[in-house]
Amino acid sequence: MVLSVHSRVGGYAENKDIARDIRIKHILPALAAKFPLVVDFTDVQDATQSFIHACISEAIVKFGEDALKLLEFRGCCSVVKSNIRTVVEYTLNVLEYAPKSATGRRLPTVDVIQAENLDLVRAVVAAVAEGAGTIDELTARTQVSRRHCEYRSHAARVLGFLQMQPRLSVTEAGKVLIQTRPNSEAERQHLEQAILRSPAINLVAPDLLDAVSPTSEVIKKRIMEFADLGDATSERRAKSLLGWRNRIFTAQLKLYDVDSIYNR
Amino acid sequence: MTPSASLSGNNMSDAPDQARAIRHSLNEITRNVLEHARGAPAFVCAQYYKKAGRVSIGVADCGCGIKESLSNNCNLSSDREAVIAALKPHVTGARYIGMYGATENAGAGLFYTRSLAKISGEYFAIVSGNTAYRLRRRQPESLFFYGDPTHERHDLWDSLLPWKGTIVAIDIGIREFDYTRAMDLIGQAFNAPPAGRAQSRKRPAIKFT
Repeated sequence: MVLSVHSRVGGYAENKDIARDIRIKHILPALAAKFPLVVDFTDVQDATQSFIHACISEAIVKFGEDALKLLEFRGCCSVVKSNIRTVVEYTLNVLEYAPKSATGRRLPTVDVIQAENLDLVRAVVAAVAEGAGTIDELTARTQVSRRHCEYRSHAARVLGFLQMQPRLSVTEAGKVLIQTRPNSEAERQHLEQAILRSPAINLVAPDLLDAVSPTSEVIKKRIMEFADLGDATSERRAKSLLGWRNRIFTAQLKLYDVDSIYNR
Repeated sequence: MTPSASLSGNNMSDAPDQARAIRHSLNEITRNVLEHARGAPAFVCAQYYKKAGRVSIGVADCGCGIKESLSNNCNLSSDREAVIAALKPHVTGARYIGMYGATENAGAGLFYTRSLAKISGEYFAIVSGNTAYRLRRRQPESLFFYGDPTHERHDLWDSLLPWKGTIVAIDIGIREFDYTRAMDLIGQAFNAPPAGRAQSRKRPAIKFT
């Protein structure tokens, strides 16, 4: 497939709104489907670095070096070539260097979730609502190991459903969660919003619920970058986050509440 | 204000390199207003000084200022810190918090703009809050760009009457320089690896046809 840039922007490529459209509507879907794409800059006499960044940087962050195997840049003048080289170079750097010094932002390791199952996170919130005020009480009430109770409590905290100090307590968002019916659309939407609002998740996976999924490799790199966790641990936690994405997008919802019908 | 309305669509292939540098700078600094000033009013002015041989551009917005704009990503305690941070490569207020990873933004615009001013041997200035930074004219080593703006010959004031927003001013000298080479050099400076880190392996080639 050939994508003409000149037909969209004319001779000077600087409009980042159009660049974003090119990225979202053409480049990301093509790469997600593993289709080769020719980005044709013929007759484009100049382009800003910002335009090129908005076109291709996210594609390289998401698909890594595979993006370069599928993308071909046709008819580039010297300035466009220079800007493409610059953007590709610094975007690949994100996968290579740990950029801790750039922003100074750090993430405590307990904020990188390690609870794969959102339903079990909900169960912990429900147990706290029923009176469990400490991890030990939670362990006794749920019959789940202390370690897993801690994982799920921290996940609930990261999502804004629990506070852990001075005792475990349910937040307003947590109360709304346990009022929704399990596996209902309302529950799904509430979980989705909680993920989108979570600062910790936004740090390592701001694109977790985007139309095109980030790869576990990319999330792993960001976790290593911000939380100083090892390779294998970061990979497991990246997969946990992607498990949440699957739960939000692909879980089979209940059409109606069978339990409440039979218990009536 | 839409920079694209007035800047794009013109055939600039035969334009002198200075004109391309002016267009690039104007585009980057007006884009910054659109992306960071949160819809606040802004003003743009420009003047050609024929005798002095330069074009001066000024863009002033009444937005939130650099310190607040960068606060999502950086812990900054003063306008002085914020202004210096904003001039460094890879620092951005955009959503994704990483060194290079913002979807829409790489934190390059102000670095490129001040570097173009340096190449053309003219002033670049930025004001936000109570702080103003000015890159002096006629820098030595005009084709070498420091990541840290305080390593350039500069002036810095940090107790001015505050401007609640951001002002950027740039002069472009009307003398010969090679725009393509300038963009190459600035790009290389922008991509310099963090101190002490060398690129660890060969990277795949970009397919240009």
